[in-house]
Amino acid sequence: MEKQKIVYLDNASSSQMSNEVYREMIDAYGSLYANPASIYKAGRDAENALLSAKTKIAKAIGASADEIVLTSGESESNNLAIKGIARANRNKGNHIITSVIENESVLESCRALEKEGFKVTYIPVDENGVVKYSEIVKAMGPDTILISISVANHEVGTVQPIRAIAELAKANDVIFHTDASYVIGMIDLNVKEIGIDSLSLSASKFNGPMGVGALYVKKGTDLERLIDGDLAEDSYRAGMVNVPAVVAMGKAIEDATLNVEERSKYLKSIRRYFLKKASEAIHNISLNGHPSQRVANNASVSFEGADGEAIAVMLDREGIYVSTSSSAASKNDKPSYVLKAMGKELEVAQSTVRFTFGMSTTREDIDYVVEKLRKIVKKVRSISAIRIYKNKVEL
Amino acid sequence: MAYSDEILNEFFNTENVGVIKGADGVGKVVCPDCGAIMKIYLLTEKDLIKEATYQTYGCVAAIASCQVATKMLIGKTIEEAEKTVNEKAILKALGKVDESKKKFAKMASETVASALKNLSKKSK
Repeated sequence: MEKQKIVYLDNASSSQMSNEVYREMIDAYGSLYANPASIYKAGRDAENALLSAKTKIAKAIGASADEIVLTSGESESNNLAIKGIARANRNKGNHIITSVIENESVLESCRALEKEGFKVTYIPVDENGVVKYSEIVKAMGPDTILISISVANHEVGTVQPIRAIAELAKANDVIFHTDASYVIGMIDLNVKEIGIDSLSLSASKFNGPMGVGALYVKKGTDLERLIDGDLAEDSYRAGMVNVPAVVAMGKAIEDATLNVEERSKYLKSIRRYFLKKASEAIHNISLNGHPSQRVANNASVSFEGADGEAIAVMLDREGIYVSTSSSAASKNDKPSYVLKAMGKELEVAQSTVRFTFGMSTTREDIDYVVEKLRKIVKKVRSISAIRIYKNKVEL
Repeated sequence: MAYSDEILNEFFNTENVGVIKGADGVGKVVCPDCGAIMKIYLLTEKDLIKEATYQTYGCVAAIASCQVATKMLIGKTIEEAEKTVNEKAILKALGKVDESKKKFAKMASETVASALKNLSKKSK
C-alpha cells in the first residue's frame, strides 16, 4: 500500500522538532540524568547544561541568562507573569490592561485575578485584529500596574503595536508583559531595545519539544512565584525542570533565531503561494487578520458556507493537519472569540480554518493541499444549508 | 477531542444530503450560539415517509446528526417518526458523543419535529 502523504500545517499549535534538536535532546536524556541542584559532578553537568540553554534563550531575545525562568510552556509562563507580577505589585495598584483577543491563559489569569479584587480592562480590537492603542491610553490610570498584550495573535496572526505599548508602559511606570510564543524565529525581538519587562515563550512553537517554555523577567521586576517548594534552581519556580527538554529548547531557539529574516521571507513566500493558489481554485474565501502586519506563517482563512471543522476533518483523512481556529477552540463548540471580537459574523467564524506553515512546508505540499481543499470545500458546501455561488450567498 | 467511529462513518457517508423539490414538509432550525443551520425535507405518500433529505451548515456532529435522523425517518409512518426519531435515538446511533456536541442531536430532533409539524394537510 502506498504511504499516505502527510502535510502538517498546524505549526502554531505545536511544531515538529528538527533532527538536530531531537538528537541533542535524546543525547541529553542519556547523559543528563542527575538533579541539577546536587553537589556532585553529574549534577553540575546538568546545571551547566541548563545555564547554557538559558544563555541561548536569553541571547535570542536580547536578555541575560539570569532573567530567564524555565516553565512548562506558554500557559505557565503567562500565568506566572500575570498573576505573579500583579500579586507582587499589589501595593502599587490593582489595575491590569489586556486585550479581548489574548491567549486563554492570559484571559483566564486575568479573570482569576478579578476574583482577588484586581480590576481588568479588556481592550477591543479593530476588524483586522489590531489592539486599539488609543483605548489603552484611555484605560491607563494611577492604579495601573501591568499591561499584557501579545506580540502577535495566536489565531489570526495579527502583529500588535508592542513598541508603542512598551513606550507607553515605561512612560507611566507600568510593567509590560508580552506573549511572544507565536513569533519566535519570525520576528526579531530585543527586549531591552523594545522595552519589554516580561515575555513568554514556548518551545513547541519553534521546533522544540513539548511541555517546556520560558519566561523572561527583567531584573528588578517584582514577581510572586506560583509553585512553592525547593527553590534550589530558581527563586521564581520550585521543582526540577526537564533538563533534556530545556537543552533541546536552547538548541531550537538558537536555530530558529539564527536567520530570522530568511525564515520569515521563506514562510511569507509559502503563504503567498498558498493564498494565490487557494483563491484561484476556490471562490468566496477570505483571509482573516491584518493583510500585511501579520506573522509570516499564519493564514487564517474563511470558506463561506463551509464549516471549518468539517473541512479540517476531511483534510485529516487526506493526511493534511490543520486546526479550525485556535487549537483550544478546536476542542469545544464555541465560535472563535478572536474572530467575534474582530466583528466577524458567526457564520464566518465557523467557516474558518487556520493554516500555519513551517520551514519544511514546500510548494509541492501546497499544490497537494489546495487540490484536496478545492474538492473538500466543494463537498462541504454541497452539504451546507447556506448556498454559495460565486460572490453570492443564499440562506 | 476525537469523534467516534459511528459519527465519522455518518459524516463521510452523507447519502441523504439534498433538497426535495415539492417536499410535503420542511423543517429548519438555526443555533443562535454557533450559527449552525439544519434543514430537513420530507416527502410522504399517505402516512408513510418515502424520502427524507437534509442540508446542514455545521460541524461534523451536526452533519452526522442529520444523516442519522433522515435515515431513521425513511420508511416510517408519520406517527412512528413522531414517536421514535428523537434526541435519545439520534444520540444512541452516534455512539460516544462529546458533551459539547450533544446539542446537535437535540437540534436535529427539533428539525425533524419542525418538518413533521409542517407536513401539508394532504399527508396527514
